[in-house]
Amino acid sequence: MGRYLPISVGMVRRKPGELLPLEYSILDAATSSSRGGDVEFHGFEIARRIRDQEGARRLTAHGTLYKALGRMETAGLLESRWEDPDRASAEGRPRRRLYSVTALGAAAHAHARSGAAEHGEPRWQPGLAT
Amino acid sequence: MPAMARFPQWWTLRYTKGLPDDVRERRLAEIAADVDDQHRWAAASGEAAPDRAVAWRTARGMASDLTWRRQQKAAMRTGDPLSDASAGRRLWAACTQAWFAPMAVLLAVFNVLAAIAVLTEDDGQMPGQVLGPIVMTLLAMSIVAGLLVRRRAAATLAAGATAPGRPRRRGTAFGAVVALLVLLLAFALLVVGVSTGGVPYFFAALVTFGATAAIAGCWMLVRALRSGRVEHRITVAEAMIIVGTLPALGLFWMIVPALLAVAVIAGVVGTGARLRTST
Repeated sequence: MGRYLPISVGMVRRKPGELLPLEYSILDAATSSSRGGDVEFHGFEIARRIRDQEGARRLTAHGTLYKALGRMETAGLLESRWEDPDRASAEGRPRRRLYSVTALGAAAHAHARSGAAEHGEPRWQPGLAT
Repeated sequence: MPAMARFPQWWTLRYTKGLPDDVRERRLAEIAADVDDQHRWAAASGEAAPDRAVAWRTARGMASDLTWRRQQKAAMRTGDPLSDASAGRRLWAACTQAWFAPMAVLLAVFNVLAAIAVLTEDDGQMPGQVLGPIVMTLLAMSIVAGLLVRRRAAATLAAGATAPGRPRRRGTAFGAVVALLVLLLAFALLVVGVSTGGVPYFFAALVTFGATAAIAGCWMLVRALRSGRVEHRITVAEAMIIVGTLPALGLFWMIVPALLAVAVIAGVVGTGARLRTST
């Protein structure tokens, strides 16, 4: 009967429609950077922004950060693409994966920020992404 | 290059080993770019010991890396049902998947024919002549419904779509307690029937057992069909199919239906729904 065990084993537990703290931090940092004109961001950049915004001593760990980014992309909160390789090679560095906040991600961030969850309402609706 | 500087790449190569090429290459490239960005930023901002900071950042995320790997492996299993199966299970799946559904349909037809035979029997006795066909027809319907539910659920699994499950309901434990009490009552009736030889007690115990099983079965079916979890629906569907084969097993002296029932049960239990998406 092992195959019938819940498929969610090992996955992050959360209430339906609720952002995890790191996910909120990522959206918050990404949204604030987009207000400054940078619509896209890469992994290290967002880790640095989170650290600066929250006054943390350390950068978010690699595993924690990229696992969250992947999860958010799957949920439709973010989308990503590879950077133009010519630009990366011109600057003599590896090419980056560039992320941007989707409309659903922006709505989720706005809802979370307004504290709608305190009234028992979902902070975001996953189905809107599909 | 010192060992500490090589640690992020070394660790990423380890935990992405065996994952699909595109997943592995993406994670390796992202970590390489991140590490490079952090070194450049450290050089520009005058941060000390960047190698140690990067290695520590990798080390702090190792638990997340491992859970991420486990999720990727689980996704691989969903996409390729036989990826983890041994050669024996692959052979068993190949042998049963083509014949499992037709055999189960044959058993459903057998149940219907048995119901007609009992109903039209000249020297039949009541209430068995009515109850028997009803039970046999319900069991035939159980097989057909189980096959249909299972087919749809398996197709959903093959497509990789798994809807989130609903939270556990509060009434579950209460229902289990009530069912247990009723079964205890039926058992008490059975004991009284054995000790006194009273036929009404036997009959009451039989009806109680049957009614409890029917109510529990219907409840499980409704709950599974309303559940978002495909696995729940498959479990109930397989239980319905197995229950539908029991009359054929009971009539073991007829040999062929009993052999078909054994083959169907072996197919259900022996391989698993994910290995028989074609049914």
